[in-house]
Amino acid sequence: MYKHRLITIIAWVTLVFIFLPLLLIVITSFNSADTITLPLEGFSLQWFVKVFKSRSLVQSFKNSLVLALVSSSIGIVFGLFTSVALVKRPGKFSNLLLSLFLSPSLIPGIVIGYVLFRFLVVQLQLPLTFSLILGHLLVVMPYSVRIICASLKNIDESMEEAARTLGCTSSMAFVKVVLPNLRPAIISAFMLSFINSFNNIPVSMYLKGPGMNTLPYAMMNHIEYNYDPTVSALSVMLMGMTLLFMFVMDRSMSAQRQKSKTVCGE
Amino acid sequence: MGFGELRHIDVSYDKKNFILQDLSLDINKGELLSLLGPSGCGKTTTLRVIAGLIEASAGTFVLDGVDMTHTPVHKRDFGMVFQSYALFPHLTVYENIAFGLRLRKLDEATIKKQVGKIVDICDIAGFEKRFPKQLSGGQRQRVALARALVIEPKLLLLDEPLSNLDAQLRLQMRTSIKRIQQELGISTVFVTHDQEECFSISDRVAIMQKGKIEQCDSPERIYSRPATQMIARFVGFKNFFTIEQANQLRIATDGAGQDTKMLCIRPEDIVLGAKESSGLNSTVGTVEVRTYLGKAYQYEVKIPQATVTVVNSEETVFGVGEIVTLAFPREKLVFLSR
Repeated sequence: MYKHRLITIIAWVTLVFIFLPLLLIVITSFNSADTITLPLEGFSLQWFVKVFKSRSLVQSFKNSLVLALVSSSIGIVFGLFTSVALVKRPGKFSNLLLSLFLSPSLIPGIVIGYVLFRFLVVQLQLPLTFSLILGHLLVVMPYSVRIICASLKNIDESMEEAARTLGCTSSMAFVKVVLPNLRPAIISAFMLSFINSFNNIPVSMYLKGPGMNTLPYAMMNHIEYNYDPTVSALSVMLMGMTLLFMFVMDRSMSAQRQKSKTVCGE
Repeated sequence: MGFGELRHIDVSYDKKNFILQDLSLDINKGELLSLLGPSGCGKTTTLRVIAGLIEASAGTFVLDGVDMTHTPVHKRDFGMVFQSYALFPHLTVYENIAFGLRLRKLDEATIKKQVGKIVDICDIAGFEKRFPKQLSGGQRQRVALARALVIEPKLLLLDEPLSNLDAQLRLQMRTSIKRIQQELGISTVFVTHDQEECFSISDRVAIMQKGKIEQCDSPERIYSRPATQMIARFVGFKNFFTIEQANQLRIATDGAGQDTKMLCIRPEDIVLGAKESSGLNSTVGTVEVRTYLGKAYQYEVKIPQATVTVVNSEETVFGVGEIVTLAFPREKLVFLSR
């Protein structure tokens, strides 16, 4: 096959452009020097240890984890019900409503954060945790709605009807037949939601408060006052976590594929 | 009194445009009844009303003496096969078929026995562990049929089940469906737009148009005695005459009733002869076009009032421009009121 050299070069340059900064962070996180510098002075794991010693980083990691899990889960449930309403009971305003549900992803996060701050914190004086969850729900919900809606539209409606003729009530048919086939969509919606909530800075920035910080913001704070590779070490661990996550997902999915393949070969 | 009775069924979403209007239909026990008609005629709607997937805005549905008009779908115990098969992709063939039995809370041994039985009847033994994706179109069709039949339904409903198959497989499957239906003696309603398919396997055919049943009869009756002009054209009648035309042509109209508007005859039922034999029930015309059909010749014959299509398989061949006599055998004439 003919390979154009220029294309190969561009591909490599792009790859380097994407991965070099990540690689640098990985390398410097193992450096014993107390600033982010090259060349390396020596090998050390002290920055990793320091991450676990920093109370603010550990606490904010826990906060972000719980926040992302809770808001993504609620977002999935919300997205599921919204999609069912929009797809199964389409009306005059379905398209308008869909755009409305997706709109938080189009509005700048900084605006959402500010508005929520004025409304939830200043006006209603809701507890911090609660308003943070609400804020993040607003951030992640469009992903669930969009992905689950698209997947639901592709599921043959007569499948549900078939289940009903076989003895299911409508809601049983949904649980037994539609939900299992929405699983891939729900998993990917959950992953996207989780990542977006976990990474979010603009909304958290307004809604966080004393004793309630999120990881990205804590990291920013840390960098502002320290120039040591602690954050590098933390980033490496986050990358590792993501890789592990993806690996497990891939394994569980390919295991399923493998299962169907062996059956086919029988 | 039929086994199943639809009476005065209306289906309408806005009370102005009726998808079905005042439709009545009997389903006899153990028969295969087809609903035949062009797309949009309401045949699928009728089936869905029977299944309970659509609520009729008026009318009743009684099955075996039980009023089922307002019985929800899941309590009707009807088996239905959908055009898209609607198999559950996340379940194996075995679990697809067992689905209805599990909902009936049967024990595992009974389920296994029943699935095994129906799998043999539908000829899909050996595929139980596969997923629907790993099956061919014909196999999916059989699984869908097995899944509908395993619950021992009171009624089997088939919604254009063969339309997604290629021509050869369709022929095979329709024979299978007929065989299984007869073997189990199950009353079946079959929706199709394919006339040949429908006539070949049905005990009775209901021909539908614009939300109404035009004629409901055995295929043989429909073929020989169509009730309307539309059906007559559908089953191969090509020559239509008004009463006035018939009188002018000296065709006997003594079989006509008061409401007869037209009479018709098939091209192959007209007897073509040489010029001299002209009498009652026959007329003279000129051959305009002759086409060779293999077993016979088809002629377009110009008579004063119209052009008549005749198919003649006799040995005598007439040339273009030749004067011929057309005889219309009285018993072959069909009188239409619409």
